[in-house]
Amino acid sequence: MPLLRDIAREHIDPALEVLRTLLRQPSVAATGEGIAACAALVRGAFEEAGAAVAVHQEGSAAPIVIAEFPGEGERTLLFYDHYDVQPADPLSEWTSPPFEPVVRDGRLYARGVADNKGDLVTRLAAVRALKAAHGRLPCRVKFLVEGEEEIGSSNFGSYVRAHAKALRADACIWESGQRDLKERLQITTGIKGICYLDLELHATSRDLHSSLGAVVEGAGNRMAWALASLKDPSTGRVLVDGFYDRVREPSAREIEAARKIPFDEPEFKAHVGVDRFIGGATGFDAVLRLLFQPTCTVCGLDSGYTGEGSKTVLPRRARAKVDFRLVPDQDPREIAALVEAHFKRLGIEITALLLGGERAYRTDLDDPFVSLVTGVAGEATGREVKLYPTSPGTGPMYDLGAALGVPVVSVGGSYWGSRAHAPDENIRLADFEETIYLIARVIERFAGRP
Amino acid sequence: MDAIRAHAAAHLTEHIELLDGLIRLPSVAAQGQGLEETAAAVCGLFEAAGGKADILRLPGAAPSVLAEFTGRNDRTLLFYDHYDVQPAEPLDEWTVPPFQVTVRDGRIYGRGTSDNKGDLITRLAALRALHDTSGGLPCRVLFLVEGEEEIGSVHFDSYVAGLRGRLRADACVWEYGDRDPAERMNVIAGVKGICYVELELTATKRDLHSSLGAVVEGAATRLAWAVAGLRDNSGRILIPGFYDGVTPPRAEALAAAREVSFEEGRMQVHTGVRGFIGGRTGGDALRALLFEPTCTVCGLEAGYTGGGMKTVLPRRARAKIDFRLVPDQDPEEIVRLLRAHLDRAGFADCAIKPLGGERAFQTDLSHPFVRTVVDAVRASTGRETVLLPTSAGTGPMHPLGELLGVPILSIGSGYWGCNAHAPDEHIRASDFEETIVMIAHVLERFALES
Repeated sequence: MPLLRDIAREHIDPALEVLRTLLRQPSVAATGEGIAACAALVRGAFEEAGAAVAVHQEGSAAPIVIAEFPGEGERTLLFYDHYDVQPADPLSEWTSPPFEPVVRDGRLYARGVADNKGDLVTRLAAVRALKAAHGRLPCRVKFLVEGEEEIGSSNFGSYVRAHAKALRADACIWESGQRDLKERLQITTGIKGICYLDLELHATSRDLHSSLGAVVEGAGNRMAWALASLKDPSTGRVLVDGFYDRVREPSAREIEAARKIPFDEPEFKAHVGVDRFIGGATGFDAVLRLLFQPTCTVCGLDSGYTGEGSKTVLPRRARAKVDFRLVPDQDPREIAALVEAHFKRLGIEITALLLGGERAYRTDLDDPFVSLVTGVAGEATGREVKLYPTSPGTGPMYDLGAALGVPVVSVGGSYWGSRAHAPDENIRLADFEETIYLIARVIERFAGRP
Repeated sequence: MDAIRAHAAAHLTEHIELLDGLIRLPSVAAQGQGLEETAAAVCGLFEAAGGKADILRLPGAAPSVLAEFTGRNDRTLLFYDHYDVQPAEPLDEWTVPPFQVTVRDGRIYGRGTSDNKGDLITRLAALRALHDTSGGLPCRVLFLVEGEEEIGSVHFDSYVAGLRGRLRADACVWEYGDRDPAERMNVIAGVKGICYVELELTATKRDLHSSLGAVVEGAATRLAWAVAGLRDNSGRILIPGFYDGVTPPRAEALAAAREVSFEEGRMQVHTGVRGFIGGRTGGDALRALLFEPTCTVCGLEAGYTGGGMKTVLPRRARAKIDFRLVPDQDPEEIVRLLRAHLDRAGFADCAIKPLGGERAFQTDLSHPFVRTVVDAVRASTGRETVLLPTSAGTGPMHPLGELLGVPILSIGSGYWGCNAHAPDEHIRASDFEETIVMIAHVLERFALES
């Protein structure tokens, strides 16, 4: 055991070099910037580690990279990761440039370092360490790395279904996992779905002088009403008719798991900067909401004049981006249609474009792979492990879990202060090292080794 | 009048070139650019026309220009104009460059052509025509030209107060005027007031991953609720106390409004709407336009507004809101009422930044100056006139009208399709020429008034 730990440590510096190369390459799925170039870098990194690599690209979709490392026996562990990142703006709020990785106080800062390039590299490093330790891998290992996770993985589902045979596996390790405020390791076995809509509203044929606002309704007022109508301010309940119809209540086993989840409410509120949760939820109610309730969040809003000072204009157009997080068995396409019908009933003419849709997924908590990963994680890191029956976040877990019929468990290298999706995204170098060893041990135990 | 007409026709190209010189100075008050240069250019134009001109300054304010022209008698007509313009954005919707004159199909395009640089040039051209054809001016003429009209004339009160001794006048001609869709000439005897504010709501300490939207309310959704609660879709403003300061229109004003025929269908075609706020039609819509206060969203901004999706819970959201006021609402009182309303509605975290406040003003329609101007307009243009007791728009008439105690009427070179404040702002070249003759004739008639 010390042998593997030492070998893993030797792989840290070369792994950091690979990671820096990936981080310097912007790969913003929302704009398409650097996607192809980043896929090529990922391919190169796998080939250099001795994998058989295939890159699939169909139409205008981002390339999908599949890597396969041979190993003993037929058991196959599949890793899911993504090489795309969130946009870096607002740029002015970054301490150092987002695509120039830099270490400060033991933390590595860059867009994508926590979500999800850092994890991809820890897994690759774990495979290399195991090969160095044993000569060959104790089981087969596959990687599936996509480039559209941050924009809703819209091409991922059909890809997985078309390549189900090549992707055959016995279990799957998902992209990420973090250490919480008390430094406990979170392991997650499910995910919420998403329905992300781009709303656009045209009120007039042109921008008008705002003095006409006495008789002509502008796009800004209409959009405010439209958005305000989606959710009840006091309860947080989504007011779209039919929205909750397909919601499957969590099982007793899932609620029991949720009960063991630590939730330091004052600390969480202080970190985020709020003194009240939606609907006034507190304690376990807030946990239940976070894990098992669907959401409605305005991510972006744009209309009229947004520069300095005043401009007296009645804007012709308004746009908003709205993110609904879904739970089993809500269907993103159906939600989009319900939202459109909601606006129609209100008499607000608005177009809703579905920018990203994914279903929620939850792994059966009784599957032995769940206890295998939680057990190993505790041993390898010395940390207390907390099992989350679902993340409040989203990913294409349904596409993979349902199509391949495998348990999916998420564990990884980030921490409570990683600022995923926000300025100054970072990971701690100590966590990076710990995660390489942790993943190597998961592979060993999965292969039936001691 | 024939000599004046011939002069205006002969020098039209020259006067369009003078206008081009002003349009090329992008004097955008909201962005604080080009104001010094434009004030100097305006001062130069007055001096070249034989006037005595001064640039006036106040700390932190755009300069104003005061010019005086002596005449054959001591009666004094004061012209009010402004040299600042609205921002040109959205730039991609202009079919010509905004900051130079383009003459196309008999129209003179450029930011500020209709509001208000074109009018300033017609007035200078009228003085020149009177001078060249009769050897001087029939009466004394003053110009007061400010540079902050488009941002609410924030220092105009102070400028006027400082000019107490030098501003003696018997009547005032205001900045603009337009031909309605039936080609009648509007003569406007008042303005609405304004209270323009920026709302800034900060919901959390930082941008968060939008999956936290299950328990944490983001700034964009909260702002939508706050803005949606300001007014209902019948046009009624929901801020308690908002209507308390309203003085109902005088009988003469209501009578004048009854003479105004409201071109509902044309306005709907022009603006691209099928119905007016609250289902108002005909006289009701016109009375709303003239005599009711408004609440209009001029700008909305929050979170991610680029292409594609970004799953962020934005920490901050901003809105720009324009309230048009009627006599005797006080903009400072409106800000206080808004503050109290937001606090009561649970939006104490929504900051209010006042960006401009002006009171409404209406000239007494029984003053003889009203008859003089209406007659002069008819005689010089052959057009039917429409006496509007007030514009739906705003300007700093109140400080001037109150301090000098003079009647104020607004006439000018615009027409119903000018696109003031919007892309492709323009005036018609024939109106530009006609207005020069009209202003000269107003001066001749005014000089004869006893």
